[in-house]
Amino acid sequence: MIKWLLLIEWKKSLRSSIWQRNVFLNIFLGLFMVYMLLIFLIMGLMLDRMIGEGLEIEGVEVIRVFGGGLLYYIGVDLVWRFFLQKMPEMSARPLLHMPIRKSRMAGFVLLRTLFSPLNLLPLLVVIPFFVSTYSDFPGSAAWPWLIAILSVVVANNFITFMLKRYLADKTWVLLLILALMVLLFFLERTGLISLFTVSRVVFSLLLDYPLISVVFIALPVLFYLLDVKMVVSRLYLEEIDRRKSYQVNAGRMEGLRRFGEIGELLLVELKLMMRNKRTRTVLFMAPLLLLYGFFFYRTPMYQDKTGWLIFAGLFVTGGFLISYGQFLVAWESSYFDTILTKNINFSQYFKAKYLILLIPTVAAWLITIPYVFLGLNILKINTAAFLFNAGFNIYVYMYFAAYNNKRIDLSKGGMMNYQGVGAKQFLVALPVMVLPILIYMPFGLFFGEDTGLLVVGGIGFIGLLLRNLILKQIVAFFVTRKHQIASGFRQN
Amino acid sequence: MNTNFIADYNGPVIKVANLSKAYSSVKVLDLPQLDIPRGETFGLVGNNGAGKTTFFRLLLDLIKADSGEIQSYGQNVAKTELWKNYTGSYLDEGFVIDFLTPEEYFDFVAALNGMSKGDVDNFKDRFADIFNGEILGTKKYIRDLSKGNQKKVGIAAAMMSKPAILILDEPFTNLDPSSQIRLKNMLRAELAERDVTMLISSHDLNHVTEVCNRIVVLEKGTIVHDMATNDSTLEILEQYFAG
Repeated sequence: MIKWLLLIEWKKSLRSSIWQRNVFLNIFLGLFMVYMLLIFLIMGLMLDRMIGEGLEIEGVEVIRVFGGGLLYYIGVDLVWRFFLQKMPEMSARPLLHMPIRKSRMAGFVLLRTLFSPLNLLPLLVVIPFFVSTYSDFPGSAAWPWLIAILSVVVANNFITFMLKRYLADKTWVLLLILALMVLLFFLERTGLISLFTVSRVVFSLLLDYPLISVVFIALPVLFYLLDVKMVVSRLYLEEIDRRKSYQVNAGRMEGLRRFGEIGELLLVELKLMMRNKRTRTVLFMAPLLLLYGFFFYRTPMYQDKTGWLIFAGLFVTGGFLISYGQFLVAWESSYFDTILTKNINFSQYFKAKYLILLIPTVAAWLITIPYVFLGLNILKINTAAFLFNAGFNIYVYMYFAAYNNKRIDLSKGGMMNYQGVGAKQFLVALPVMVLPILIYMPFGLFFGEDTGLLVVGGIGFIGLLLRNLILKQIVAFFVTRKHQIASGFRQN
Repeated sequence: MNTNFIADYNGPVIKVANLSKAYSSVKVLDLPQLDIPRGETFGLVGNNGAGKTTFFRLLLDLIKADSGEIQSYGQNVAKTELWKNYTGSYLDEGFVIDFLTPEEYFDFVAALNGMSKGDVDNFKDRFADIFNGEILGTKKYIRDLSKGNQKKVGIAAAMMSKPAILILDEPFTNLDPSSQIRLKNMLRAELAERDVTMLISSHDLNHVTEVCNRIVVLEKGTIVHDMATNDSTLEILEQYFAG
């Protein structure tokens, strides 16, 4: 029985559309995976020394210090699994009417989740660390300790399965996580409650009383059983097929209708963004890029490398532009024939697109003005980058829209979702991300930082002024390509 | 936009000349000449792959012809976009925006065609029978409706602005029997009331012969029968498709 189920799964992955996406993307993703694995492996190998040198606590052994980070690790691991780990969508649908016990089907689904790379990454850290510190473990505590830690990894896997079932699609989860992070940071910094110390004490117990590891081993078993129960109770067609029919109140947005055809088009596009999974992920991720500056602008390494900071500035003010703009028009692939046959004027259509991209870009610039507290030069950089985004990059994305002829499936979440991604999405990054830096370099080097920024910003400013002319060209070009685009969208 | 020119227009509403379309060198459509006069209900039948949808897509400038052209009221549909002002169409699910509610979608189409609120209310009354209480006021997105109801939304949206040309691809498929009959009556009523030219494709020979006054049979992209509907049409068609 299990053999058959495995065989079906194997065929499914062999015939998956992953292999049909382009080679370029597969190579890129493959390299990315190898890179991540290497990073984790190196971290595992170095951890012993890193803790010994950087995080040393007087009179506490390295392995106990390591324990201090474990609670944090468990939390971070859960968050990152929640967003990245793909749960096997119930491939059970065609099996429901067959003589297979439901508990067995559930067990099968759950065991499959173990084969996720996200379960491999922690092993790459823990096992080298374990090997290099083996001799430091007191008495017979070493192996029970390792088993306990691995149990936690597996338990996290099963907890994620449950969390995804109940919390996926809940928009407040992201806010909750952010709030928790801020709270923990605050508690740790002020010394009110140190989760680090709590964690260290808890996992030290494990070293002193190895028998406690039995409790840890019980965790994955417990969550596995809970998961099985949950899956079995939901193995009904209506549960599998259930689509939440949530009615978004469009009340305020309807005001857009006053602005005629453009207003109507904007309204439809806003609803598109809010009512589909894939676009909603974009909407929630884009604001996070606003925070990107905090990491970049405060890293001493980049302090006086304005070229790099422009890069950050482009991200900070262009988060939405980049993530939404890359699939411009393709978002509408499922109903593009409507756009082509209904009484819609293309220049109005593209004006609406322009506003969709411009307004959030302006908003991002306004929101990031407080970065000025990190230095006046940051404001200058952000402004130059904003102008370049608004007066140049927007057009690049609109122009490239004429090459976006891959259908986008709106119903799947957008985290690590590469459906519809092609070489074009990487290609477009060249003019958008690299060009402004190349423009800046010679002016910045020979005439000073301000001149360089002025040139970059100036190009954007001119672009803003010439928008009617440029939009006209873009529309004319798009119209010549519309048949290719439409035929691409019709193929799944 | 000015569509007055269609009122004074004499001559075939749709004029096809030397039209051909091939996919990877297999001809899927080859129409040397085809005229559709004003007020005709043009029925297109043929097995899968006969070229019905291809013809409709060419008519709506959704695909590019390899040669030839289609004129709508004397204007080449691939050159101007005037036809969008007076053409209503529904070919497949790609013709509705499925994350909108039916009301929102109708409002959108109404706005594009410059219809007033009164026009929209009027339209909702006209379609009340066909909607059968399952479309309006259900607070559901179109994607959450059944296949048949999604189709009703698409057809209704195509008809709502009372277009001079109406193009429907297999309008009866997926509809329940009552809806099929109601739609048929509705199309007939439209014909009796106003100046409209209809192009309808169908696999249902009964319906198409009842509604249309001309039937064209396509086979592998070429016309094999072209006849005015009369008492023996259904029989001829059945004979053709049986053989």
